[in-house]
Amino acid sequence: MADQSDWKVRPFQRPKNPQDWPLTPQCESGYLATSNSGWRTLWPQILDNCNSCGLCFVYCPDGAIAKGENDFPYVLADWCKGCGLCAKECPKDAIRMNEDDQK
Amino acid sequence: MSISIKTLPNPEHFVGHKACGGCGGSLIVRWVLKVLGEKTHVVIPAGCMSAVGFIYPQMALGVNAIISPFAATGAVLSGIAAVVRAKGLTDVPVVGFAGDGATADIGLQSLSGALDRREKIIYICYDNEAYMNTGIQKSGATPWGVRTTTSPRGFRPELDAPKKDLLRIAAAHGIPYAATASVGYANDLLKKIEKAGQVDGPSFLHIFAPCPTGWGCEADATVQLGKSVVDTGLWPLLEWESRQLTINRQPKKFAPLEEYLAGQGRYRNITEDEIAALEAVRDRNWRELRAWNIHSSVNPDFG
Repeated sequence: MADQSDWKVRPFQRPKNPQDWPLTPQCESGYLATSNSGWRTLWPQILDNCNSCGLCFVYCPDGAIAKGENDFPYVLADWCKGCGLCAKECPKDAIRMNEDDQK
Repeated sequence: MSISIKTLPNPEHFVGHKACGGCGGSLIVRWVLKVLGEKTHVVIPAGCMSAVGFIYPQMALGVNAIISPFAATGAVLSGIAAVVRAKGLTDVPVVGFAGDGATADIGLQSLSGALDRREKIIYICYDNEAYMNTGIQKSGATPWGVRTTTSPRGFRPELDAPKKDLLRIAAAHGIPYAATASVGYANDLLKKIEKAGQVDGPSFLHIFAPCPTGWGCEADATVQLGKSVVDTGLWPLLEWESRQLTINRQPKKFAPLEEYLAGQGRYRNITEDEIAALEAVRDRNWRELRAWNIHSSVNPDFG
């Protein structure tokens, strides 16, 4: 398994016949049947004064903040729940919680 | 190189779970799996982490994992560890994540048996101080004065009824490594996970995990509460290693308790007299801890 950006949503087709439901996970790990994007009301916006310290990446309970180019963080829309922990713990106040416009 | 928040590995093994926003327990699972790596075998009993991690028809864990019966985390852990030993695998950590109810109340005999069998396991208790998964009922690790759904006016027993001291229970088994940690002090916590992974034999970690839903605090307060519970002296950071106790953080002066209690709905109807009583209990606990610390360093055999 690699970084969080490799985790993808692979929708699950609900079988009509009860015998067709899988007894084990439907596919290999790294894929999930549903996204969590409908949970949030707020969306973390990363501002330009971010110094890429990586604290938001450490403290996100959902692993929804990934490191991009030069370790500059970006947020994954499928997994972020908008809890605001990243904005609270950011030492530079470089994350602002906005109304969610990512849906 | 020892691990810290600067060197936390990128590979991610716990994504897309259905825990509430700002969950302390899921943060611990994520960190532990990052430190121990993708060969880890995980055991999770009934509780929040199994409800949010195993989401049919898929699972949010990128490692091998199994749900154990509520009371059998320790038993399943030592079974898996015995197989790992019999197959001669040396790089497979076996780790269990149990809540405070599954550790201090329901799974206590199983934990004791697992520590007694001396298999190479890591038992992690993420302590959110009540049965959160079933709807915030009082557990054996609920502190004095806390509101839960089974103690709606606040848990106020007439007799002195402290939280079960799991570190002392684990240390009394004479295991090689036991420690307490808090999500607020990430470097300390990551260092302890790494140490527990290297110990030959059972290790026990008791980790403070705030629960915004059950505690009535803000979703973004998890890490801040994890810091202030240590600064106020309510949650000492300890390490029991080679029969010797180390106090990792000894605040010269404790922060006022109000700082920790204020943001939490579960402490809403606590009075000033009761806060003074809690401070007195805290000071007594610290006197006992310091005595244990000195005693174990003078005479480790009888620590």
